[in-house]
Amino acid sequence: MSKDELLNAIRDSIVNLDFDKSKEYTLKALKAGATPQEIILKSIAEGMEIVGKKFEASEYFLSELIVAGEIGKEITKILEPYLKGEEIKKIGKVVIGTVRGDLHDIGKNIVAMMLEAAEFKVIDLGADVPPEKFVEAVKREKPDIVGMSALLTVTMVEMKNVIDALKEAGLRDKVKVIIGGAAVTEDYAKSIGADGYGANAVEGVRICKQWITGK
Amino acid sequence: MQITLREHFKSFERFPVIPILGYPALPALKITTQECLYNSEKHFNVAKYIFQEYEIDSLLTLLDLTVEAEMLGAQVNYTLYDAPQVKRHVNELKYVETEKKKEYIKTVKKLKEFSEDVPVGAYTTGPFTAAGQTIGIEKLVKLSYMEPENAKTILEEVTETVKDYAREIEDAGADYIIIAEPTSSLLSLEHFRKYSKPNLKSVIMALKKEAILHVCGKSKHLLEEVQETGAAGVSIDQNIPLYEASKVLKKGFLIFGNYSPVNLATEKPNVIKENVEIMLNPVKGMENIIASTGCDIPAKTSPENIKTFINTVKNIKRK
Repeated sequence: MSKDELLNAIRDSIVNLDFDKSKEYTLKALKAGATPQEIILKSIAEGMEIVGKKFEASEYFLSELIVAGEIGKEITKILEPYLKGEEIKKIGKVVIGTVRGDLHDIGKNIVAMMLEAAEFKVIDLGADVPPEKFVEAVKREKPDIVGMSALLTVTMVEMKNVIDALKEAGLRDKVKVIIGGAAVTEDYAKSIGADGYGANAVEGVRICKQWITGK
Repeated sequence: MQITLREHFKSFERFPVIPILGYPALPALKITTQECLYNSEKHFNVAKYIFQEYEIDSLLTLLDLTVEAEMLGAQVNYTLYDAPQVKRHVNELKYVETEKKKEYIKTVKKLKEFSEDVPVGAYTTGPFTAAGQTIGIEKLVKLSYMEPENAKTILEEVTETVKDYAREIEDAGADYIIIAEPTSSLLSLEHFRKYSKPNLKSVIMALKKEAILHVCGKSKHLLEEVQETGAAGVSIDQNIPLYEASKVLKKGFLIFGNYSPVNLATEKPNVIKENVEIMLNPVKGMENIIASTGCDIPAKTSPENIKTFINTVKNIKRK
């Protein structure tokens, strides 16, 4: 197979949720002269975009998003030694976390994986993150976007606390804020002054991309 | 005396109302989540308070999706008044007879002794959800693709724990058991058939009493399969309108649902009244509908909102 065929094969193995083939083709592609950047920016990014479209068409469900993301991570692990300390150019930076009091992180993890595949640098703060940690991360990392997730009604009120903390720290106008999670609605996002609401991971990532690239 | 839900509610001229209501009673009674779940007398008093204060049509235990995971070694986090959450998953399943499980069984006994002629319901966690709570859902999903035999083995072991617990709840006097399997809505139909349905069927067929499957989330694609598990009914959330669900499910299959608990917590009472009417008007004349919420009502939901929901349901004639 040619280098381009192998890059497409890696992409297809992500779409087909095939762990073994994804590893096999990644190693073959590297031998055929593909760079880690090409594999990440073409195969993984395109693969995750197709997976996202299948999710929107209800062919794939959240479990398939999780698996595709895991395959992307496995491929990235293989590529690490080949990166030689080089940083892949990213289109933007996102700080993401599940808010204080909420230990649920699947949604947030799926979004983080898809953002990485979409060429964002992701700083994942984990779950049960208090407002001050979001503020610290924004000061330290200077992200373009802050993403927050909450599964529970009782914890989604923390999203407003984070936005208020960003305002108090003079950082609110330095970032776009997007929220999502089972408890969250578009009306709630508007009411607390968030810039965007992701009804699901795919839509959330699309909104982030639009903010950065205008597309 | 065994009660079946359909028979019990047959003579009702209005819709029966059984919301997933538990944690909002805790701040009112100044009982914390941990105090309630670890003390059958307190848990019984909370359930009794809800039944009497809100005048719902069943006595019900609180929904706790961590009971089985804790029995299998997971660590659980408790806040003041909200539902417990799993804090730390395990790599290997190790069965432990927990105090919480014993108290839950005692609570069911007390509820049945309290009232012979009101249905007593109790919750268990479905096997797929319980396995995800125990080892981590992402790990379980990944195993289902990479090591399907390993995933099946884990699910079979968790199923046995859920089955034994469900049987104890039944023996303690529950008239119906709600098996909460929300994580199954993450699955494609193919994976539901492979990893969730057989285990649900295994639990349900081991029971003599009615089982209701709670599958909140985007679960429309699973509805036809759910009725093949042996369940007497399904509990759904706002993602599937009741009327649409009734078109997919066989006649007489019970449907619990489906007011959004988030909306119940945040909307004004006049909006709740309007929305309950919108929810139930299309299903008037259907005796298999039991008005409920799509999932657990958050602890901070105001009593006024909850009563508006219940009273509006009660004012709607279903015949």
